[in-house]
Order: sequence, then C-alpha cells, then structure tokens
Amino acid sequence: MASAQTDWAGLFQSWRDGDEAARDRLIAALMPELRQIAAARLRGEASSSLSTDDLINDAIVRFLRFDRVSLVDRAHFIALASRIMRNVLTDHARAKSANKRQHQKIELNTRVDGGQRIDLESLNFALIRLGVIDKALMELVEMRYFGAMSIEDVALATGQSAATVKRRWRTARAWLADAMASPIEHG
Amino acid sequence: MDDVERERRALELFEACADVDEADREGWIKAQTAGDEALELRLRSLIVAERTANMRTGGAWLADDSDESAMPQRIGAYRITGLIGRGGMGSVYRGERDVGDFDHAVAVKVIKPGLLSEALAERFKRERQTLAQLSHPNIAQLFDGGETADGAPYIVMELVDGRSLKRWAEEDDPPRDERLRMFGLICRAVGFAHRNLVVHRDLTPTNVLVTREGMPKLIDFGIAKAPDGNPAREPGKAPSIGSLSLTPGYAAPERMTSGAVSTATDIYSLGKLLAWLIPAQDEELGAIVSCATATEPDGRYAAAEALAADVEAWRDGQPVAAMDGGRRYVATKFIRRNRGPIGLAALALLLMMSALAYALVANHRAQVARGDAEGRFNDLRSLAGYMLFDLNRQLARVPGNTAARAALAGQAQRYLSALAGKPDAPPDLQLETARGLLRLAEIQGVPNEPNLGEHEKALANLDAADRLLAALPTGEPQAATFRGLSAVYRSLILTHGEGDEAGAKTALELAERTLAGVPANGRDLAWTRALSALRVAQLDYADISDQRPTIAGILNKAERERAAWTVEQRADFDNRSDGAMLVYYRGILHGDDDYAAALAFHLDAERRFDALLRERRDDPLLLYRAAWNGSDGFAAASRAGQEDISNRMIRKAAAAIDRLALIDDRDDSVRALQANIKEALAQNLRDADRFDAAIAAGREVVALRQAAATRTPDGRTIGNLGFSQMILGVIARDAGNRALACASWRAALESLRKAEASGEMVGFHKGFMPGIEAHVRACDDGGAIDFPMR
Repeated sequence: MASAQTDWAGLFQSWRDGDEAARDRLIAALMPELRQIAAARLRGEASSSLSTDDLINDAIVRFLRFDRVSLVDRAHFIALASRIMRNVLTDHARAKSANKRQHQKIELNTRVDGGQRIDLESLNFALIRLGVIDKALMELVEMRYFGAMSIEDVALATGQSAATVKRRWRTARAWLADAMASPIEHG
Repeated sequence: MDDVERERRALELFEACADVDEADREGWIKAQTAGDEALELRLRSLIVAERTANMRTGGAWLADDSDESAMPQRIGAYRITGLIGRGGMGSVYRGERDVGDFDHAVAVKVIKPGLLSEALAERFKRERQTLAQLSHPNIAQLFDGGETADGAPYIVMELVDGRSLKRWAEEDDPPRDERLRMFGLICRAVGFAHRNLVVHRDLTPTNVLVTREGMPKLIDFGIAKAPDGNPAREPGKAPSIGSLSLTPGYAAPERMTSGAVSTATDIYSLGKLLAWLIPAQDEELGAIVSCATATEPDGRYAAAEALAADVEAWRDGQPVAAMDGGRRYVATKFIRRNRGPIGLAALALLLMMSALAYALVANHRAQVARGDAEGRFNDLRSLAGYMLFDLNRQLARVPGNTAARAALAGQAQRYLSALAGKPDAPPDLQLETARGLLRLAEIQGVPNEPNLGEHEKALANLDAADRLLAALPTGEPQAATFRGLSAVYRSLILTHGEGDEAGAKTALELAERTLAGVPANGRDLAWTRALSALRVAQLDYADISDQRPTIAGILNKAERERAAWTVEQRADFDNRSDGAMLVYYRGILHGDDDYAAALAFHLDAERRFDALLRERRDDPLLLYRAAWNGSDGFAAASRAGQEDISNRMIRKAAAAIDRLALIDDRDDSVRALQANIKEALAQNLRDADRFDAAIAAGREVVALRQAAATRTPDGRTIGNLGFSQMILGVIARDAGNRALACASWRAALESLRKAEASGEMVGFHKGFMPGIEAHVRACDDGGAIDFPMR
C-alpha cells in the first residue's frame, strides 16, 4: 500500500513542472498498488492475453475513488501508470517464461490497435531500442499501448498539441512496425 | 553517422515526409538522404512498414482512433439496415430477418475483434447459451450470436424501441413514485437473472433502456465490459473514461481488488442506481443505499428482491430492514416468491460445481503426469481451503444451497484426504490440512452452527485431524490450539447429535486441558476463538444436561478470560458472536427467577446480534443464535409482563428462523426451532386477537410437524404433530371457528393415538389426551367446547 503520507498533489505538481525525481517517487509509491491490480487481473485471466484497458481502468477507478488523484491529474496519472504497467507486465511475462525452455508468448491486447494482439516481449525489446533513439517517442508509445491513452490524453500529459502527438504517434508506429517485423535476435 | 544518429534522422525525415505530396516524394527522398544509402534504406523501410501495417489492419494504423469500419451488408441470418450506435466496444446495428417483416427487426451488436480477451470471449460464448434462455419482460431477449467472417463476436438481441434510463430521468424528470416503480422492476429483473445464475456485472443508467410504454429493459447482461450503446458522451469527459470497462461509481469495490464477480456485485450497482434515481434521501433511504453498497459484499442485501422489498417498505412508510440489521424481511412473502426458482438455482449451481470439479480433477491428473508433486499439493491445498472457507461461507448465505454445499464438502473431502495421505508432508502443510479437516467437520455436522447433519463423517474427520496433529511436535502451539478445537467440536457432536453426555464431558475436559497448555506466546487469535468456542460448548452442555447451576461459573470464567484479550482479539467477529452468546446465557441463567433481569440480558444480546447481522447479513449461525435469543427473550418478556417487547421479540425470532429455514433447507434442527418459534408466535397472535394471522401461523406449524413426522416417524415426532394440531384447534376455537377447531382436535387425537401405539410416547403429550377426547366428544354432541384442555 502506498503510504498515507504521500503528498500526491505536490508530487504531481512537481512532475508537471518537469521534476524527474518527483516522477520516480510517484512511481515508487504507486507501484505496489498497481502491481496488486495487475496481479489480481492476471490471476483471473486463464490465458496470457491481457487487456491494458482493464488494467488501467481498474487503476484509475481505484485511485479516483480514494481521491488521491484529482481529475486534473488524470492524464498525468495514466501516463505514469503506463510506465508502471509496462514494467509489471514485462516482469510477469518474464516470470512466466522463466522456467520454460521455449519462448512463452505473452500477448498484449490494446484498444489502440482495434484490439490487435501484440507480443509483449518483442514490443518491450523494441521499446528499449526506441528509448535510446528517441526517449519521448518511447514514452508516447508507453502511454498509447500500456496506458491505452487517447491522443488527447497524451497531449494533455505532454503539453503538446493533439496534431503534434498524432504526427509523432504515426512515426512511432511505423518505426515499431518495422522493428517488430524484422526483430533483432533477443533472448 | 552511427546507427542511433541514423535512426534519429530517419525518424525526422519520415515525419517530415507526411507533408510532401505523393508525386514529389521520390525526388524529395533522394534529395534529403543525399546519397546516404543506409539512411535512405531505413526511411524506405519505415514507409513500407507503415503501408504494410495499414493493409493488415484495414487502415487502422493511419486512421488511428477513427477506425470506423464500413457498415456490413449482413451478419449471420440478418440483413443490416442501419447503424444504431457506435462505442468503444463496437457497433450496434439494426438488422432484419430476410423475410423483411418488421416484427423480426433486431439489434445486432458487433464487438470489435480481439477486444475481448480470450478468456472473456470464451466465457461470453459459454454464457450466450444461458443468456438466450433468460426470458423476462424486463430483460432484452438474446436471440442469437456468433462470429463474423473477420472473427468479431456478435450478438443478436431484441430491438428495444426506447432510450436509456439516464435520458429518461433527465428528459422526463419523472415523479418519485414513477422512479421507484422503475427501480422495483429493474431489481426484479436482476433478481430473476441471479436465480438463473447470470450476473449483469455492469448495471448503469445507460445499460437500462426504457421503452415507449415506460417499461425498463436491461441490456448487455453478462458482458463484463460496458459498451456505450449510447454514442453521445458527456461533454468535457475524456473518451477513455467513457470507455471504462467498469463505470466509475457503479462498479463494486471488490472488482478493483480481486475481480471476483458475484450477485453482490450487482446489488452494489443497484444501490448506486437507486441513489442516482432518488437524489434527495432521508435517513431511511440513506440506510438502504448504504446497505446495498456496503464495502464488504457480505454486508449487502442477499438478494435484489430484498432490496426492492425494502425500497417498497420505505415508500409505504413501513420500517425498512436496512435500519434493523436486515431482519425485518417479510419472510413468508419472500419464501412464496422464491420457492420454485431457488431449487432451480441450487441445481444449476450444483452443475456448475461439478464442471469445476471436473476441471480441477483434469488439472490434477496433468500435474500427476508431469510429476509436479509440489504444484499438485499446493493446488489441492489452496482449493480445499477456498472451498471450505470462502466458497462455503458465500454459499451458506444464499437460499437453497444446502445440496450444493454438501457436494462441495464431498469434493473438499477428496482433496483433504489426498493431502492427509501424504506421509512426508512438511509440518505447515499437515497443520493446514488438519485445519481444513476441522472446518469440513464443522460444515458436515458440528451442531454449534447449522450444518449438513452428517455426524458420522464429521467425527471421522475429527479423528483424521487428531491423527495429523498428534504427529506434530508437542511444542507447536498452533497444533495444540487445533487439538483443543477438535475436542470442542467432538463434545458438541456428542452433546447435541448423539446424546452421549459422558463422552461429551470427557471431550470438554480434554479441550480445557489442551487449550490451557498453550504457552503465552501461542495465544493468538485462533487460540482465543477456540477458547471462546469451548466456553459456549460448555454452556450448551450445562444447559442440555440439566446442570444449569454450573452456568454462572462458566460465564464468570469466560468473562475474566476475555478481559485479558487484546483489542483485536475482542473485536474479532467470531469472538463477538460468542460474546453475545455469553450475554444470552446470562439471560437463561436468570430465566427461572428474575424475569426482568433475564429480559435485560436478552435485549442486550439482541442488540449485539443485530449489529453482527448488519456486518454479515444472512450468516446462518448468527440467524440461528438470534432466533434462539428472540424465542427465549420472548418468554422472559411475557413473564415480566412486557407485552410490547414480547410481541416484538417473537416476531423477530420468527423472521430470523424463516430466513434461516430458507437458506438451510435441509437442517432438521433449524426446522424444529422454526416450529417451536411459530407455535409461540401463533399463541402470541391469538392473545393479541389477531386470529387470522394466528391461524395461519398455527397451520404452518402443523405443516412443519407433519413433514418432520413423515421424515422420521416415531412417538416423539408424531406426538409433536398431535400437540400442534391441538394448539391449532384451541386458536380456532378462540377465533370462533368451531369447524376448524373440531377438525383439528380430531386430527390431534388420531396423531396422539398413533404415537401411543408406537410405544414411545412422551409423557407430556399423553397428558393432553383426556382433554382432547373430551373436546372431540363435545364437538360430536354439538355442546359447548369452551372449557380448559387439562
């Protein structure tokens, strides 16, 4: 459980003002609860196909319910949750395939692609590469895929115009499509 | 230029490329890459990747969020004639059967392919069958379903000519009574679905449609996600909130933590719906809403009908159950309304359980085949634990589930036996298995709570638990606690079930010694519970074996012990329930001499049970204890001359026991107590000159006694029947109904003669025979029947 003393509003404010340390502290505070949400969902899912919508929605509903996150911070919160979800899901995928010889395919089910299924492990690997090339682009993908955030939400969270986000998103997708179609060998 | 630099440049160019006309693109690329072949290759790869991806997903990559596919010509056997709405989940179309008849117009909901996770899609497929059979005037009928050529699941349902409840309330601003009528209909429809084992999962003002005739129609039953059939979103609200799978404010809290869905989930949403429909609330309606939306699913109304009944009581200015621990249910009405479907629900549950068991056994086999012993035992252990503790407790509170619970117990028995048979299991596993066996014994036949009446099985499991516990190191405090608990259970079975007083006494002494031997550091919550159970068992024993004088000593001891407990131990639910029993026994202690003091204790116990029932509605043990307290409190109040209190207590006792009889439909002790309470109630009603109600209660008692006499025909049960027939006759006489009085006495005489012939007649019953014979003679002679029975 996140500590009751966490100054959510203050941390969000600092993060919006560009304080990266505030973001890291928010992640540390939110991680246990999001992990719980994800774990609860994962237990319920018979197959390994996860819907990020569900995960993020659960998180939002829970946090809004406790008034920890005001609606103003919603976009920022989702953006943050996206990062955490990526970690949680990737950890889960790794744990699942840890004891098995063959590569266990964990599929991610997002609203963003009209429900297309994406292999989580390949996506994660591609994202690590993208992060080196263009960190902002990687974060955009995180928000869209792992946070199921709309273009408008991303614009709100990043302070960019919706048109810019749309254009950047198109670029990110093309790059990912290429990267995942011709993956570099991993693991 | 290194790889990373090149990638960055390629991305820049790709982005800029979007502004370049298709015709000029080739030249532009050549100019921008300026002979850097590697860069050009990367840029072209990106362009190709985008194009390929577009082809694969039908333009979705570029079109992004506006990925509205064209309206299909036809889906399944239906010709699509128009678009009704589009939302996050997919689209809803208007469709017609090929015959072109308007009566065959339907709504076809197509869910975006891949949007349902595999697990969800699988469940959806399974539930479609159930849903199709769900035929109710206030539930949109599901006709058909399948998958389109693209693999998108679709359902075909009744086309409802109407608008959402939300719009109905906002546009028409209907008066309060109209809103309440609507809510009642919605509750009944949800209740109907629950009895057919279908949970809606997402009841909101947009998932209920209102027809032109003003009738509600519930849509999207059993589809976990909320498809917003109403495409208009609230202004200012971001779309991702609009497409939440759980509508904020309507989704029950347990969905956030465990994802577990039960009928209680819908009760929660109904409570929220009620609060939304009737914004201005007084204290009572507020209590109803709070009760329906309790954080703990256990605290909510057990059935949608019960919620509806409470709302109706509120509307009619009658007391509501929510203000009273939920026990003022109009029980007989509830029984009448639910009798049929409940049996059906229990049967369906049983089938479900068998399916579950089958899956578990299959899984078990697979693990055996893989030699995965560790995993297998862990699974068994958690399964047995789940069945015994969580599932059983849930089921125990739902009416008519006894058969299902018995099946569940049988399944748990198999798992536990497998675990107990593992000789080299680690101590913690053995301890847990013993705990499971104790719990199983409790469910099967420990008479401290309503149980399945399987005393033999229960004793066998206590033996098995004792064997496991004996093998554990003597210094293990938890093992000692469980050994003590096992002895307590044994004493209860011997006291109540077998009538073996000597054996019960020995077991109680063993329990006392064992629990006293647990060192201070091992006196945890489980130990206080075991000790608490021991004290109540000792009180039961003293009461039943006619050693009432020892009651005071046991009570004093128990209260001293409790004073030393921690706050947490005292606050524990089970300990508080036992604490209320101590107060109840204080009342029993004074019952024969100081009536006013006895009544004060029974009233105190009543408050405690009410509070506990508010926390755990319909808990069988609590209902049982509350019924006993009400019945003894009634006697104390009558003797103390407190007529109003005695009236209230007997009615409350009757409501509790009726509720319990509905839940525990196989328990003989419950039905015996029910008959006793009803008999007192009938006489109480007669004394209040409420003759019609008194006769009705009297008839109910005769029916209960008749059933008992048919089940186990012996001198006692047949004598009981005769006695109740006699009482009914007396009530009928006092009501001025000579015909019924005489008929009842004739029947009574016949029963008592039968009991006499069996050679096992109870002296108490025999004493009434001359009086009844005299009354029957007076009936035959046409003389006065108004003289005492003995």
